[in-house]
Amino acid sequence: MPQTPTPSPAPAKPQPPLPPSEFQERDIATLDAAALVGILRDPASSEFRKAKACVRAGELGAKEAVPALSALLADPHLSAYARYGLEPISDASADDALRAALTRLKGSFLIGLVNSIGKRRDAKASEALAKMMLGADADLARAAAAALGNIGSVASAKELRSALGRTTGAVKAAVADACLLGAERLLEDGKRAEALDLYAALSGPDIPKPMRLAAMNGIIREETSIGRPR
Amino acid sequence: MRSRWQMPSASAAAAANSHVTCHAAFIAYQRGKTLRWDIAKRAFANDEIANRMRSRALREPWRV
Repeated sequence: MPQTPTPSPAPAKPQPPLPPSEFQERDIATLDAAALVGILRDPASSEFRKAKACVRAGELGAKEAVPALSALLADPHLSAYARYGLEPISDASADDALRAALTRLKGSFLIGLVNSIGKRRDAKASEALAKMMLGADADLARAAAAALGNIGSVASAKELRSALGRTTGAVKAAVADACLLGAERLLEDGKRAEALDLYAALSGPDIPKPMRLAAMNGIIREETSIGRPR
Repeated sequence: MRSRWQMPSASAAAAANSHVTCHAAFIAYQRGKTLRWDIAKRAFANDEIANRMRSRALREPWRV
């Protein structure tokens, strides 16, 4: 009588190689906010542990970590991680910390900061961003315009409209692009008339053609929508 | 595509939703739990930490 062959055990799955010990996350993924602040403030902590602590603080939304995170905004290696931690924290103290850093950061770190402020839609930063949009640094001006567009408040829309006639070249294109984004944000917030005004401001012949056509498309879409006010 | 009236086989919306699905699955793996995705709100319905993991600060000077 033939015997049923016993199944051979499945070969073990190959395990991925572990990173070096100094680059292993270990306990950080389970720490609470107080312990994370301890890591961020400890001068003996490695950059890797501080970076991971920034990420974890952002995931927890730990407002207790805001002062420690904002202290790292000027750190050349940890600035992006500090913003990584601050961006998801819903408490207003994170907005205050990012806004306060506008006067002390420079170069690409300042551009990163402006991007984060725009992402959080901090309307209180509109005035400072408007000054940057009209400044001499073209890269910073473009970032500030994009941030104002994403903020999408009535005040930021007014600043963008004003900047359309006061900028040239790549900055003007960035301002026009930001106007489109601002109009979308205004529509999302139910401010239809302000959004249409912003689209209309993009109808001039001096506006780059792609933005002009996009604005025209926005006006047609809104004016022919079945949900428009009658 | 030969005509502007012809739709691509994978539209931008299909591509975006495919990416969202993959990212949502990875976040659920990282969180070690079953997550529910609210399509209308584009947010997780049952985990605030997962919602904070949906986007990250980009290294300067990049932005989306």
